[in-house]
Amino acid sequence: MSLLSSIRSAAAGLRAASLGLEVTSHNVANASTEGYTRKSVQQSTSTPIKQKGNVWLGMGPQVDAVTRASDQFLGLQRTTAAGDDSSSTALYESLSVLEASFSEETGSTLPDLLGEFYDSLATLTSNPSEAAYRTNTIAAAEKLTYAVNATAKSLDSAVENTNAEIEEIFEGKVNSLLSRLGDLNALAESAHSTENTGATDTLDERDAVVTELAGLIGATVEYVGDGTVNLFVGGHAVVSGNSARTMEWEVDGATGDLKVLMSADSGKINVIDEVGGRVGGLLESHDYSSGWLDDLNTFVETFSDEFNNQHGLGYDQSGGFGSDLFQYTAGSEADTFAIDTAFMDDPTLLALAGSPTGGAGDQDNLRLLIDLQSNQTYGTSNQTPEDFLSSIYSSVGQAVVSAQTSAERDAVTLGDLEALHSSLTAVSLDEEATSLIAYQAAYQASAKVISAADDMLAVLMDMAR
Amino acid sequence: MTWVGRSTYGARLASLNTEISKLTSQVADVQVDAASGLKIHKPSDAGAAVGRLHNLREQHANQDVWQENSGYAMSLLSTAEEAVNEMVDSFTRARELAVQMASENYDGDDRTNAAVEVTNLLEDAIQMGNIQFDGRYVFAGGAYDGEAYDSTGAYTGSTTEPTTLVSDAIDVATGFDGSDILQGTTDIYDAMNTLLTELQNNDPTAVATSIGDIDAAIDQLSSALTRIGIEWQTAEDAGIMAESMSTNLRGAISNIEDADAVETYTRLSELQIAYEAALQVASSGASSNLFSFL
Repeated sequence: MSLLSSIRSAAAGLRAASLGLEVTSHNVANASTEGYTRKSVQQSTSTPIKQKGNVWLGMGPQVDAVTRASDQFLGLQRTTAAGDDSSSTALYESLSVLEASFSEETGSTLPDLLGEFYDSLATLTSNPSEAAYRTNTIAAAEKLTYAVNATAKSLDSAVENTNAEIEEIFEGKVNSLLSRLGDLNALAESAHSTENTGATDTLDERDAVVTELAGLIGATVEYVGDGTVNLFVGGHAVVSGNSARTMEWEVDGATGDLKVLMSADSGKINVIDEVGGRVGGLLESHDYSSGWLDDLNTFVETFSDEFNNQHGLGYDQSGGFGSDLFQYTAGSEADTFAIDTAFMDDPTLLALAGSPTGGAGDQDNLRLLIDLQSNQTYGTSNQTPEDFLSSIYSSVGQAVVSAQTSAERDAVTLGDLEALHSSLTAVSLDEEATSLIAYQAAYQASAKVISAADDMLAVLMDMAR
Repeated sequence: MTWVGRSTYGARLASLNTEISKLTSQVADVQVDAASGLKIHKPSDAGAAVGRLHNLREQHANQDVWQENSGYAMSLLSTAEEAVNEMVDSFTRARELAVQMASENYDGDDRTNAAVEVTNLLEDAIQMGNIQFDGRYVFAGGAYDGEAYDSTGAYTGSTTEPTTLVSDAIDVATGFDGSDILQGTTDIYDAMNTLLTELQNNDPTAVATSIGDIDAAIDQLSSALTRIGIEWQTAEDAGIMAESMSTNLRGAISNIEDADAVETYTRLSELQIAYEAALQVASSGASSNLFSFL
């Protein structure tokens, strides 16, 4: 081996150490960058050269590639877990907000207020002609209607907010991310075909986009041999190679039906049953809100109709038939639930008597109105009015508890997978510090070799003079 | 958290953040429990007990109504009882006068004077028959917004009897059909009127005969007192039952919704210690790495 070969070998060592230092610097600088994976220099011994005397001597190191730490299986698991976590978190968050409309403070729940109304009727049995008692009953009825209105408005508002957020997700995020994923796939494919090892940061960004999309719409990923990924919503490919479809959100104005539409080769397909992630969680929350609103509407319709019908059979203090105390508009029963204001001005309109000439103490119809409290005619389970309202609260409570359990479980699963992923792929500053020392030492050693070879060459040069 | 091989700064920090966030939320929840003394603020706090809690609250609220109604009924019935007792006194005095005036020892003037007194007693009895409670005529039946009797003792009320609910299934009378309770078997005013007529007629034999009617009237009043007493007792029993039920139900509600003070403060203390420890770890230990020593 010649001295010049030694210098070349040492120079290769310098280059490798320098590149290693550069990669270490990149790692340290990105230690806290979201989605960044640790990069490392893959180096090997250069092909040896045959010297005189049939001696094979190495020519120093060569840098084969800069690779990133990754685990495809873990990546797939993490993507799924991110979708699940995002879905259950969205559901839990929105249900928790909704639950605030169902306070359990004594005296403020709908069953409490309904009970207060019936209690006011029971109080009237002691003196049905007493104006103060009648006014108290009208006030209790009004309080009940206000509380139902407020709860219904909260549910309406929750539905509207959910719709707005889903629309924002599709318009503001999903489509741009899908498009970006197509672009990143194109870059990854190009890098893969040309063995462009510098594309590792592109792959990091692609994985981050995939994870974000999984979190937003519950998309699943498939790694393809050409370096790209395919993204699916349910069984439908939404990104394939560099081709990305678009998605949109639609609320049918006539029926109120919700649709998540994906562009297809011919028209659009509705993938609402297959979408997951945050949108999936919000849709589930939407279903809960709508269901509880339907229940409230059912309550108002049944309660008002039964009370008004019986009230109409009784006589007020002027001897006339009772008119409707409760009012509502079909289709938005809970929102429009109210009492006829004429009763507030004139409590004698309460038709508690069973006969127009029964006298001040006639409470025959009052007793029949009180009996309505135990009518088992509410909902499909034939419940009493109070049990029916109470079951809405139970349903809210159970939904929140269930969502919380799922959210906590999914957060733990995702957290564990993130930790595992981090332990395999994230930057460890301790490791980088060690690498820094190693590359610095290698660089100094190679420089020393060059310096020594240079000294030896100088000796030879001096001999030649 | 399980670390496989490498523990990175970012992962440690993320893990700490999760723990701190969880502890913050738990501390806030327990603080609300401690401040309010309640552990149920929303349906999810009660879990499966929501329905039972609502039921107990409704039953508890009912007891307030039953207590109020039974109190009202007892007051009304006490008024009725006092009125009937007054009537008994009037009729007892009328009987004494009748016994005296049936004797031949008394002359027409004496009977005329006795008639004046009986007239007053009759007016008193009618006045007692028109006794009012809370603006309602107790013996006018369902038509209690009008007088029960006219000035002659003729019934002008209703034959229906108003009742008040004092529990889920118990009614007590809070008003009486005067034509029945005071004039059913014996018309007390008729008996007094007869005596008055016989005194005015100065007929000692007929006065003696009317004593039997007065006795029957007193019996009628005794029956009325018994009837009123039974109703009063029913109302009182219902009130006592409601009070007792109210206490028991309050206890049952408390078991579900009230926070145990010792448990709450112990839990709060534990969580605060854990929270402070997590903050301490986050602010120091997690940030150390080899670069600090180079």
